[in-house]
Amino acid sequence: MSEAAELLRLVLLPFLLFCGSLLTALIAYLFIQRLTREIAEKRRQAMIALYRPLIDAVTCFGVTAALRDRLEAAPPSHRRFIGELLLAPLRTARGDIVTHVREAAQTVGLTKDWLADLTHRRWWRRADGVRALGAVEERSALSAVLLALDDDHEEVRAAAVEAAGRLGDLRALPALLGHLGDGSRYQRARVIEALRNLGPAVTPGLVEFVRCRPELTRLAAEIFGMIGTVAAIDPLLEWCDDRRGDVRAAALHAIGSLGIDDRSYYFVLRGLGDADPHARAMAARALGRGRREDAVSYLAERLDDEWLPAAQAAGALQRLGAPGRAALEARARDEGQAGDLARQMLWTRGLGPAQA
Amino acid sequence: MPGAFFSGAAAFLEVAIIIYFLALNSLYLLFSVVAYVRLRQHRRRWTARDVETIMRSSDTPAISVIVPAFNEEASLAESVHSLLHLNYPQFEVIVVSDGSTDGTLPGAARDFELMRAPVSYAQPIPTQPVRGVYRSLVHPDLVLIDKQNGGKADAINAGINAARYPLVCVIDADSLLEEQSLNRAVLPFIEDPDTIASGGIVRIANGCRIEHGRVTEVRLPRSPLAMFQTVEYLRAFLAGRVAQSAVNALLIISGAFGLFRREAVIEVGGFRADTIGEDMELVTRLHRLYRERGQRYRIVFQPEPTCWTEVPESLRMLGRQRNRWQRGTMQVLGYHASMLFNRRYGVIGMLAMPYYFIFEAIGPVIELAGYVLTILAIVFGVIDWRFAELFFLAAIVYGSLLSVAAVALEELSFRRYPKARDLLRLVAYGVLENFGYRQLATCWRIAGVVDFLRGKQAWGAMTRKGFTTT
Repeated sequence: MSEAAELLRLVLLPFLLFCGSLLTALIAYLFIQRLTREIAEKRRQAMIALYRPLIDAVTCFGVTAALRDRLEAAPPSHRRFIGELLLAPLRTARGDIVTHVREAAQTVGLTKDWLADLTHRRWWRRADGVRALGAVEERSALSAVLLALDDDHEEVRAAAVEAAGRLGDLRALPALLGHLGDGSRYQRARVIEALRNLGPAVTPGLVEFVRCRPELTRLAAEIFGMIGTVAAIDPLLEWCDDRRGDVRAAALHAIGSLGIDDRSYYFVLRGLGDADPHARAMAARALGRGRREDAVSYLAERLDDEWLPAAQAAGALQRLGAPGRAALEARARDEGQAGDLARQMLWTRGLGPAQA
Repeated sequence: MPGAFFSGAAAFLEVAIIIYFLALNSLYLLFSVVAYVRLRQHRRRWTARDVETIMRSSDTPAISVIVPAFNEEASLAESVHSLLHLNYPQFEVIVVSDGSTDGTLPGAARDFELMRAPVSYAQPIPTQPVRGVYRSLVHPDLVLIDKQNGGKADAINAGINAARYPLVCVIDADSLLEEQSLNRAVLPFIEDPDTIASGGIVRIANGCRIEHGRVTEVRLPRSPLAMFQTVEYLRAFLAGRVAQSAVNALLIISGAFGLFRREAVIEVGGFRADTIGEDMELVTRLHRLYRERGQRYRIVFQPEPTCWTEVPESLRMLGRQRNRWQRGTMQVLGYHASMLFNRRYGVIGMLAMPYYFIFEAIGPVIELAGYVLTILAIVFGVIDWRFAELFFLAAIVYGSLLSVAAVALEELSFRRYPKARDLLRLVAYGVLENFGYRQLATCWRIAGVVDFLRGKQAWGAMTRKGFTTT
């Protein structure tokens, strides 16, 4: 045999032993960890059976004297598990249950644990801690939650944004707005959600913020549309005259979402003639949602516009009752884009292709 | 002396093949380690609560789900029903009947109350003519396009043309997505707007309990052939693709479940209709375009969004499938040969494509050569039979280690197979696949190489059983 092959033969045996040992160890590890997991799951089920009635009573009736005694009697090693059970309903539930859970958490000492977790070295503990404080709406933790907005780890910052929104305290507004323009799109989505939770009261703060950060005007317009506050109408109308097309489009979109009154109707009609096609499209959309039939003739003219505003105009006409339908029928036999859109809208209203 | 020369040459080749074997398996071991780290990070990163919040956001992009279908009468209704009940804020389902000759169209028209609608959308990607567009009266977000036959890629392109939304999800007609699959698949696009494609994991539906187009109970297949494929898929997806995605070197997003930015796909001209590896070819082309432009982009694999699909349980069907996959790989590498070892294409040109060339394209040939050379070397006394025995044992043990490592990745991350008996079966088949199944797969792949060199293009017929409620 060649020298190289002989050398390989010398290496193969230890290699084989090494791989064989690794394989055996891996298989053993898999089965041991499965067994461990099953034991842990059985223990968990037993704990659930033990604490579920207590948690149900707390969430329904609050922390009565008897329940307080039982909570205080729980061993410290069970605290985290009790915390999991307490927090589970708060993913969707609001109202009195939040108050009951918060009291229970304070009784058991969980609030202190969660506050301590905010400085834990492991990021998921910090994230879980801040999330829990937000879920129970522990307002005394506001400053700690706001500090977490600047955590090193993205997940912790995300949890802090969510918690700030849940706390519903307007003192969080400046910090939230400060994070509106940075971070990932995912983070921005959370900030917007948190602002939505804070409700119409954010309007003055947001308007003031945009004065200092005009590059975020478009985003602010979108947020107003989502929050649904009529207090935002004035800034939105102002932004309909912004020099940037995307801002005008966002403002018109938001006005459409909020609903058109006599004053905004004029601005929206003017938006149909905007230089920016996206703005014209949003104006058409707003008129469709406004359901004012006197907008039909203006919308009908837009069917010959670029595709985006034309399509929105067609959709708007579809919403505007008999006058809208008549305007579509008048164009349904036309060649080209206007005819296509008119036929499409008439078809989807159920009149069928034969009539379209 | 000629005898000594041939002996030396044989020994040299033998050593080269051993080095190849070590390189391939060690690479896969490295994939497994990288994948383990990434999977742990992923599990921590995306919790159900995070996904819930994302779904409530207005930033969440809408998705057009495209289902190319050719003679899918048996399973189309179930698939479409399950798609229509996906948990996602805004999406549409576009079924493209690619010149089906069975009851696909009449069956769908009956099941979903389809009505013919005007064709009023631009068609930026050329396709075979569209014969009709049908919309459902009971499901406003369902569209069926009937077109002349042009192949799967052509059908997907027709669907992309008709898509209204910025993201297009391409799946097979017999794929079953889970309720949260779209939620999970869209996350990279939300996290990073430069993401242009995202693939999910394909799992094997054989043996699972399926009710109304949903996998309601995950079970392992009964058939040994499907079991081998289960282990294979775990290795390929949880180890291979997770690791490749980690370095933005993912060359393939499975045609059974992929999510793409519509504009990016249109920009490169859509799926290529004249190739059998259209999924890999598109992704390679996307890499090519963006790297040539020097534009930042991401193509990622997400290990959690799941698509369940039926795998062949007969040797004949499986052989055809593997033959096709091999031809597809070689075809794609041929089309983009200029990227190979080309620094202009970064990690794609210098790592991903060489990997596919050396270990996937010509790998089976090298493996076969290894078997043949070893036998000849023993016969002519170049190597001792005990050495060969030891080597084969090492190969089996190393191969088993990789398979069990893939099972470990599954066990330590998603654990979709809940019973302890399932774990035992997976481990057992992970070891057993090295005693014949892998060698058989190599033979099929070699047949694929031969067919490729002979210029064979056809897909081959695949008979499907269809999903029945179990």
